[in-house]
Amino acid sequence: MSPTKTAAPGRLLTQVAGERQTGALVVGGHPGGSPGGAVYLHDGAVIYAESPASPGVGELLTSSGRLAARTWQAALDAGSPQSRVGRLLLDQGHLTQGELELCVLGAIYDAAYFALGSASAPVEFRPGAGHWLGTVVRVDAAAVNRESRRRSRLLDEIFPNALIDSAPVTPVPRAPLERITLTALQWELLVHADGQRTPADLAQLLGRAGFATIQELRRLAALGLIERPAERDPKTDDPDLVRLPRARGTAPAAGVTRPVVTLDEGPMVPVVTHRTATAVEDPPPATPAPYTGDPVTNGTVYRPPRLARRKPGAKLPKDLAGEPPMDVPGADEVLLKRIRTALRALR
Amino acid sequence: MPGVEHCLQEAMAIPGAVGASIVDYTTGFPVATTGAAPNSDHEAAAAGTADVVQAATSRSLFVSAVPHDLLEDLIITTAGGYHLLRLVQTDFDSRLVLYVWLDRIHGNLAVARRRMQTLAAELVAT
Amino acid sequence: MPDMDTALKEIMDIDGAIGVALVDHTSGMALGTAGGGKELDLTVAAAGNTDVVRAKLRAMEMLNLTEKIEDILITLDTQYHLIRPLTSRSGKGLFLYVALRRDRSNLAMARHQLKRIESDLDV
Repeated sequence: MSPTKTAAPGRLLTQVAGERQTGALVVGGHPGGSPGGAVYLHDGAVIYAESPASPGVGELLTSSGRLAARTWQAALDAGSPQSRVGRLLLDQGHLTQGELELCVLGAIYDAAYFALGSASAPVEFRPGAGHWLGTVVRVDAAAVNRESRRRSRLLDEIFPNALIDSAPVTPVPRAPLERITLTALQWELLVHADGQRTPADLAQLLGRAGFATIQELRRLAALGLIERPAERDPKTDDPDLVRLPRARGTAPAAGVTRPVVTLDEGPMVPVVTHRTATAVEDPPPATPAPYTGDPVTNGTVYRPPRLARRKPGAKLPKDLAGEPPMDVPGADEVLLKRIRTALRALR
Repeated sequence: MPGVEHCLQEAMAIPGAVGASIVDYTTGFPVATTGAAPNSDHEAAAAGTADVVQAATSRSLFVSAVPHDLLEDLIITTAGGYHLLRLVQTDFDSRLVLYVWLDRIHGNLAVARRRMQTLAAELVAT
Repeated sequence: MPDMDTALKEIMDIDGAIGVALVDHTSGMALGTAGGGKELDLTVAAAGNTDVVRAKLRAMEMLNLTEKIEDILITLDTQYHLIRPLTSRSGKGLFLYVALRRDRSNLAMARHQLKRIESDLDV
């Protein structure tokens, strides 16, 4: 029906839903900004949505251990041609109807938030395109649109800085409070944030909803527990610490993403000299927050390990596996990376 | 096989039930609703429900120091009714509660609580 | 009429009680507490937690409940938490927060006893 054009994805969704169309609304992402995604319709009702920034039904079910990876893969192989993967999982007794419905509903609203989030993006409607999952639930397109808008308001009420949603997450080296209360998800995020992983990486790695992830990250930013990314400042850009381009089209472009702490509060410390003193041996290149004025103690601060923490035997998400974190290598790191590459080759 | 709709129908069959919904308590969004809601507004009630659950789990006055002491249910008694919130424990990542609004005169708190426990478990049990 | 300390002691005598606090939700300050121990993290005692209670109260308002709240019961795996706003004129803006061990308590009885102690309480 429509070739690729630049428009408001939400408006196009309303239009095709109003025409009771069947097909896929594909929204292009752009580096460093909206991740894009796709919303699938059947007779004008939303039946599925996916986005690189949110785990899909398969990731949710397998990363939690609810389904074995091979069970999922078998259903995917057998059910995809006729778009009945969901049906198969129910018929074979792997999931209850309730579980599948709740999982799909969660995934739809989660992905739709990312797919429909931007006011203007390259969008295309592909009439007739179906989804391998099949029709598990039917959701009113207006409700999806309304909820996506409400979610973006929720985030801005917590902490109005949309860069947090896509920039690599760097915990601050020292907590700015004497006593901190964290939710379980906040703790997980802090443990796995290494200055390289973006919120989308973390969501996929942990099998957590993309929106819930950025919601907690905004809260952590409001608490001053992660660094707040600021607009790119050429003066503070170190070309040698640039993140490599990634396999998936989801990641922010190289160079734009390195978080720079906002220095709009607290006393200024000589950040530039400080950074050059620590950044070389201490990636992730976290600019210390103003309150950690002491380069000596900074060296003793806890740093998350570079290797992914995961359950024994768990598969490293291919997204991450394809791309070792690009730290500036110290001797140990080079060794670790070699060992890891060797281990991966053995699999 | 019981799906979401069936679960809500069964919840409405609890004596005294006037409304039921399944709410995502991270976002305060009612994923599915049926019957009445306080002030006839399911979405506002869901947003409030989410706040209450979040307050109880992460900002409570007392916090259990026992590991894995997870929230099971939360009941608010008002002059006119009971508001029952039961966590739906899925294996995959979701943060959902089953919410049932009961009429105080026709509702029986103990009966409703047991019934909701069964319904929430059936929804996700294989 | 029992005073606050007597009432808190009486509440600690309820089967299974592990901690109790009488809280002013306008300021978030605890007027008195009793119990606690290793099963309970008494965050009310920590500095800077005054908005904890306010958040909870605001949340209740947001549930769109125009009617008065009688009590709130929170069930955890091993504990019950009971919250009961005071009904007396002198107790306006105050509520009792009680934590009980689930395996040692009778919920119906505890709610009933708390109601009785609360209605007699003179602050």
